[in-house]
Amino acid sequence: MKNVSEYYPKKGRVILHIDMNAFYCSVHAAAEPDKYAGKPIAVAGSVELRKGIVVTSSYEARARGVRTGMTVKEALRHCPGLILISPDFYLYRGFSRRFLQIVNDYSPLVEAMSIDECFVDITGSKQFGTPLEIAEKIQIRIRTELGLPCSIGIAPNKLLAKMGSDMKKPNGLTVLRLRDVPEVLWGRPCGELYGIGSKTAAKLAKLNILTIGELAEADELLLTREFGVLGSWLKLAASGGDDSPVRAEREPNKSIGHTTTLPYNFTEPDDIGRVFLNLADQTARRLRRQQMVCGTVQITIRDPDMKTITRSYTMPEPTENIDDIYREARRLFDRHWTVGEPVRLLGITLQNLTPKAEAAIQLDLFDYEKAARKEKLNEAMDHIRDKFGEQSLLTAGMLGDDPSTLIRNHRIRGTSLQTDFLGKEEDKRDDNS
Amino acid sequence: MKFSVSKDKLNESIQQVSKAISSRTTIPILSGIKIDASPRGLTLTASDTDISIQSFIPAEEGDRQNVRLAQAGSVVLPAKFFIEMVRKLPSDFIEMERGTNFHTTIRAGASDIQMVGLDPDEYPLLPQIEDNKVISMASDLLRAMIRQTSFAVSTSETTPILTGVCWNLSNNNLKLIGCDRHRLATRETSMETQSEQQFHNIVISGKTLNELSKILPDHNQLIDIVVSENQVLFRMENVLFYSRILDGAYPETSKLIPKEFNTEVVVPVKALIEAIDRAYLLSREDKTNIVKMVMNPDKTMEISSSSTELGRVTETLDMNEHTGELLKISFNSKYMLDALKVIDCDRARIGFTGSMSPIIIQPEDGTKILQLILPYRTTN
Repeated sequence: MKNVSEYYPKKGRVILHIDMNAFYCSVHAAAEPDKYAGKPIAVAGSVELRKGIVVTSSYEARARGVRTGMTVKEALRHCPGLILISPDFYLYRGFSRRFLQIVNDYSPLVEAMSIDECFVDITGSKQFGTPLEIAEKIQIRIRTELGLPCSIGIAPNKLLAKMGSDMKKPNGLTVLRLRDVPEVLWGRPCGELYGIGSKTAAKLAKLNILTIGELAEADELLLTREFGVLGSWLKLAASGGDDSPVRAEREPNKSIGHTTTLPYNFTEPDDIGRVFLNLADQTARRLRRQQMVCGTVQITIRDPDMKTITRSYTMPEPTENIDDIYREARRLFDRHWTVGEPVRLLGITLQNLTPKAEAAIQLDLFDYEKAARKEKLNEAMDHIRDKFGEQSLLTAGMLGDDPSTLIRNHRIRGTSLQTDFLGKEEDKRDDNS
Repeated sequence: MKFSVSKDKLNESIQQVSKAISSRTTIPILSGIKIDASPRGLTLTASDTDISIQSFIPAEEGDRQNVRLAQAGSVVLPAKFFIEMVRKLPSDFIEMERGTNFHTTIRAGASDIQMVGLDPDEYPLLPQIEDNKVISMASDLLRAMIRQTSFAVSTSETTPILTGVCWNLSNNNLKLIGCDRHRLATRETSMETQSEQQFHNIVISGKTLNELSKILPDHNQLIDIVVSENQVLFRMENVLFYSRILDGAYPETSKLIPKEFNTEVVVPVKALIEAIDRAYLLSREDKTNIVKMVMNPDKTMEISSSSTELGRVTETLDMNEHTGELLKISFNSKYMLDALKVIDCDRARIGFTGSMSPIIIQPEDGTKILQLILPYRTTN
């Protein structure tokens, strides 16, 4: 029997980066293999309108030229047989949770980076075998138990693990040691290094630093002069160095948001009010669950032509209450939307979050006594809904049959994805300025 | 219209009425100052519809002649141009004459200025106020009462009524209230009135009162305050100051002011202002101005603030008196400074009912000033 310890470094760590391949499409193929497995498929928003954008596509579709960010129309031109699917976040979240659970079986130090990738520190996981064996086991279990492909990078730090998982897709398994760095990475352009964006790459190009190798050998003084503290990090990263730890707990959220696409184009103020009330309810619930208060309320409105606007308002005092959030959302809507103009999607995002324990909230003469009672009411209502479900306690205004009432069953989450493709025609404005 | 007028007198009057000129007016004629010349003297009028001010220059004052009238008449002259021009004119006396089409000639020394005027008949009439509710008070007291309350009014237009100071008169007692939801300032004074006058819920914009304060005469003089349905008139010797009364009901506040306290302290005002002022320097960095007050068993009080970037300030000061629980409380230091600065007394009595309830600050000398501040809700 071999000595597993020999496969682990005496000093230092072993980090895996697990990257699910074409996650959304793979999930659909795994959930309904008869319909989708092995076929060119793409997940896109607003399939019926043919105006959506390809969020992701299967490898079969990619082979025919379909790319993320293309309009559905364009994608169909490249690949006429392309099967289009509406996103189902409930499904994705379920699979995401299960893949993280599998990873969790091998180490508690799992840092979920997004819905489809994570880092895991297996330095202390010798009992499960060598690093390569663990990576193989994880990959096989994800494939057999979930039916999903993934690529795994094995390295002494997060940076190289991430670079490693990128090397071979799908189903890759790449070991990237520090000593491999010159051979594998140095010939590549700087922009390929994890953490270097297009702006930094362009700046480096101006300094005539084009490859990762040139960056590793660049003068650190020059780099710090140009980039500040980032300069030292750049040089270190180019030589494969990175000592950032795997953080098992995610950092506190910067914002909490919900959006919902309406079943038809809403024009009635009552309908819109109900949607906002449900959105306010669920965002406020999540806010309180995270023991935060929010300073800014932002609303998202999309019209049938997919033109999207966001409007935000920073309140004089932070809040955790549904009525404040609802009131500001309605006020923003009334101010920035013409009555009777059709609305296709609505959203509320709570921003400017601070932990409630640290927040200084200026009390108000006219409701400081009510505020204390409201806090108790919130606690009681949250308690009941935690125990008996979201539907167990509602205000009458929340009742209805549009999708905004469905966000309570946590199927249509969709925030990150839906905001992903807000980018293009977005029109942002802050009401305070 | 033709007259000559003392430049100093004209300037003084112009300064007084200019408080009612707004640069952005929807009624063009209101961008002008109306001038009426009569044998009695010269009357200047300006208005922005919220405030109207009329200043009178008597033709003769003692043995001094301010105005020499050649021909009575009126004209409206563009305020901005007129104000600046008069200030820069060379001689002591200024001659003004209206020609055709309201064109007005201003002559002073070797200067000759032609100004395009407007038709005085188009100038809106001043509010008609019946003299049935009149109170009189000394200008110094009025100025003090405004100073002690108007700083606390709201600057936010979300609750317009709170941008004003509320005046109530009953049982020979006049009470002014300023409140912006986070703090409240009241000042009361007894007022001998004929036939038990009273009025309630007369709310006058805090900004307007500050403008009035600047016009109030320096030497102590009795001011008539005439209250009507929707206007208030402050009548001075040569100035009439009209203000609109803000629409809406002023919220009931008296029930919100605690009468009994769990903790009461008496502190030296100057030392407390200085301590909080130093703590404020740090706390203003994070916009909340948050400062913490902790009472110690040895009759001292600790004022502190901290900022992650700048550091920490801790101030200890002696309390003159302390009764009740030892309290820890956090508040907006700016509000506390504003309140302490208008107490006008060496010692202040501060009452608390808990760390989440209003703080009440009153002068020890019994002057009827009450300042209230709502603290910050904190968990530590």
